[in-house]
Amino acid sequence: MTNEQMVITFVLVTAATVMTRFLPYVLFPEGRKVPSVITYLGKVLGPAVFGLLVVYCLRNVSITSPSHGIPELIACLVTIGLYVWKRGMVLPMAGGTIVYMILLHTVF
Amino acid sequence: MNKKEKVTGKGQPGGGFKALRACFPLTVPVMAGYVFLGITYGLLMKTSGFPFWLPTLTAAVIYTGSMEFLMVEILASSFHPVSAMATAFMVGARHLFYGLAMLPKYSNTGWKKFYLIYTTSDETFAVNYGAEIPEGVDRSWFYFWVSLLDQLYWVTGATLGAFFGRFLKKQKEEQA
Repeated sequence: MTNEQMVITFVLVTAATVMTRFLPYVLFPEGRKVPSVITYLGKVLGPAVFGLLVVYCLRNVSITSPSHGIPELIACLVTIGLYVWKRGMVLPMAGGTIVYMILLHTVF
Repeated sequence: MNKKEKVTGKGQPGGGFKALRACFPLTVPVMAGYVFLGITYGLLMKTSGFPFWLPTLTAAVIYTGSMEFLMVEILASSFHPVSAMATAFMVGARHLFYGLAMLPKYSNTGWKKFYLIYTTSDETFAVNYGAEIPEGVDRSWFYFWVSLLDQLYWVTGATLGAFFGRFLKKQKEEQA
């Protein structure tokens, strides 16, 4: 790619990214009332995306594989347990990840 | 509407430094992630042969980790503007959902709104969406500081990575 082509690509990619960020605010400007469907979606989509991410994360875990998905299960339980116990974000994330890594490298 | 939430100009109680102090702890996990990932990104860009200032530029202007990593390959391959733009739309589609979710929270934020929307990254969205704004803290300033800090972390990481990459390259050349 020539330098000019790189600049064009850069500008186009930036424009597309900016559009994805601004489009909801352009479609539903502040003055007008937001349709209740959209408000509902706004409330529900956050947790829905989290659910999607969990499924996406665990989709390749196989019970028939050598580790039988046990380290993943243990790590998930540790993460959930830490959250229920202490709340917050850092401890459950770090704890679950560390437990998983240790399990992968030592036991399984 | 809560009077303390009203957004006007300077000297607004609950804004400025008070909001910064309130939101900073929430951005510390983001700082760890963004700085390290940013360094990785800057290093990758530099060792792929791009100029040292490019990671800083993309970090400031594009500000989407996933797309910026893809840019390393896109810019190194042949010119396909339509496919690059389509990829950016698809990779960035999640921002549509972030915008929908933040529609009510980002309303009435005045001049800051443009910057708030422009810098809605995954982590910034997560922090701002779930944040409980303390009493007496101006909401728009809280969101603004979070967005600004997060972007600073990312830009710093990318810049550091680019400089490490330059330093590594010089070391390699001296040894050769």
